[in-house]
Amino acid sequence: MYPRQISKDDVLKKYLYLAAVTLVLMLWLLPLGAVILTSVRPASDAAVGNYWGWPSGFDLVKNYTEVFTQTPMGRYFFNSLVITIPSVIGVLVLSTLTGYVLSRYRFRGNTLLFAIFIGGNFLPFQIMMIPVRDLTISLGIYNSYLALIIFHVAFQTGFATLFMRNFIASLPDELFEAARSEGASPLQTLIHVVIPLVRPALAALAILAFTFIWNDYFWAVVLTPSDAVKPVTAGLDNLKGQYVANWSLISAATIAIAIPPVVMFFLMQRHFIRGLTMGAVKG
Amino acid sequence: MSNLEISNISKCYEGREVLKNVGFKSSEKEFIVVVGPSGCGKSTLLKTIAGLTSVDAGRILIGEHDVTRSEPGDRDIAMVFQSYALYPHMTVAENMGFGLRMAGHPKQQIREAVEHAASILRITDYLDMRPKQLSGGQRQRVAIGRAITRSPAVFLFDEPLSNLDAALRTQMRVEIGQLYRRLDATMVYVTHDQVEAMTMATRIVLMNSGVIEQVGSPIELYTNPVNRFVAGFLGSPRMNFIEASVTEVNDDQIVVALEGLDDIRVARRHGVGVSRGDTVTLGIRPEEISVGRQRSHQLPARVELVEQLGREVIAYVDTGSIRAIESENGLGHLTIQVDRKSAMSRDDDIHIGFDAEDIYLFNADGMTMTPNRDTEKSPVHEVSEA
Repeated sequence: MYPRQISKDDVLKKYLYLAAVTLVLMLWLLPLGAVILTSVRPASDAAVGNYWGWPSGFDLVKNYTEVFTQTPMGRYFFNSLVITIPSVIGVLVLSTLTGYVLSRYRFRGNTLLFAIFIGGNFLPFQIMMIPVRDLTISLGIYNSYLALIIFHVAFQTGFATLFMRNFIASLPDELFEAARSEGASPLQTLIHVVIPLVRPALAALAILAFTFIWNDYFWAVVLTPSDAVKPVTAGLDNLKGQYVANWSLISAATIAIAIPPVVMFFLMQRHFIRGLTMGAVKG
Repeated sequence: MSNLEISNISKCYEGREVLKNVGFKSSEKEFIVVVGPSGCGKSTLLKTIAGLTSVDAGRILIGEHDVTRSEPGDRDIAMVFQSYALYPHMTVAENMGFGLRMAGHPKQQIREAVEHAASILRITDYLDMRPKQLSGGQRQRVAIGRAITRSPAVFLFDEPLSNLDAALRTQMRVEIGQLYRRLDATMVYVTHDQVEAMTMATRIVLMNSGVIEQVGSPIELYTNPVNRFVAGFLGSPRMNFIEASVTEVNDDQIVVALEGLDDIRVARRHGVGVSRGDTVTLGIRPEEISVGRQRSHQLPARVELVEQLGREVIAYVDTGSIRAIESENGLGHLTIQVDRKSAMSRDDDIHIGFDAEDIYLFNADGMTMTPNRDTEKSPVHEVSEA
């Protein structure tokens, strides 16, 4: 069942394995490679059907500049940041608070509340599409940043709460008892003890939430029809005209959109520190 | 003021009573050791004093204030945990100053308090280190330092030495004892280790299954246990228990018979109910049994196992028809503790003897039927004089 380590002596198996991994990797990366190549092709290449071959020329600077000068991508980019950053912060704050309370305080309905947070994740977005749209219209926030921010926070907090609750529950009980016996209030304990110790979890969660919200297409299409507030995912679709499509530009825009989650990953990476709770209790 | 009063505390966990009407009082500075087997409720008792666990009934007073419903931070207590419970992301100094910082004390004052506590415990060199850079003993010192920094009226220790190795444990035991003499505070110390209880306590609270069995000074509990549980719990090796039957009772004496021995006449505790034919438990401490024929009661025995401890020798002997109940090795052997000079080896046939005045008798309910002895004439006292 489990992947077993290939013995060092079995040369044939080792090379077969390497070859298989390389093959799968190439298949996996092929579409991405094609998009990257297309993003530097002159527009004419796509018109004559040169999707996979070597580009007839390199228009890297031209294509990527045009994405931001000839199309509203700059605007969409800005919209995406305005929507994603507050949403991620909102998710982190709310899930830390809910996770802390659900993991550390016993009260009636604790388990039920937690079950609702988890259960919410199982509702398909599609069945909520119309109710959510109607709700935003009644609230007067349809077609605004706020609509996307509120619903992204609401939908992400369920999973994030599960994540944070389990992480905080795994911290040693004695730390909380020590803080409490030293007179720290629950909020002080959260700020001074819990948050420094769950930093790796917050970083991981930030990456997940950022990627998910940044890449969201469904709610962007449903809630923000106007260019002024539309994020990049929905905006990318706009680059395709009714009769013509500049595939080089679309590819360049696609690559540009993929960059922020990657940057986010590297920014957060330094918070992944192993053994942060070492030395707290014995061992 | 280091006044601590606990009255009639009860606590239920999921239908199980872990504390039943527990109470004791200390009106002056004291080192109280709460001792008992695991699961006897001693840690729960400590947590209720700390305020980390609420009580179902009863009252807790610290320094004249009723703190039964107060938050732990408002009780003037500080707790030291078995697992140290240091904040791993803070330096030693930050760990020690945490409580004062949360209470909003000025920085200068916190620094002074931390430095003072650090100098008492000789951990000034570690103030900028983090817990993971320290050894177990150093971490426990920091944890104690964190408690001292807040200068509480009552220190609560929850088995603080259990995670340390034997040598360090002895050293820390002495240090905590010195700390107690130096600070003006009552200490409540929970442990399952009877050596810690006997050596550190000014008063021992001995608990078993949620109730207090006996409260008193270590020597008091050792010499005059109120029941068989206390008698068996304190002392290592533990007391020998032998089943016997009462053959004669008069106003101030009980006579019991053991096969192959002269009748044993022991003093009767005033007012204790006993009648002829009752089955009782006879108890005798290993150090009260001697090898040779000089004592009032003697019997032949065969040595089954010898533990040479250097200062003394512990031997497990088979006395044929007389079997010990709940003996250390489960084979019904009697445990005797003698001077190291007494040469003994396995399979030796020897004579052992004891005096009737060293005998304890316990009735079927385990209550002591022999009168209290003078603690001054106790065996431990004799040893310390020798």
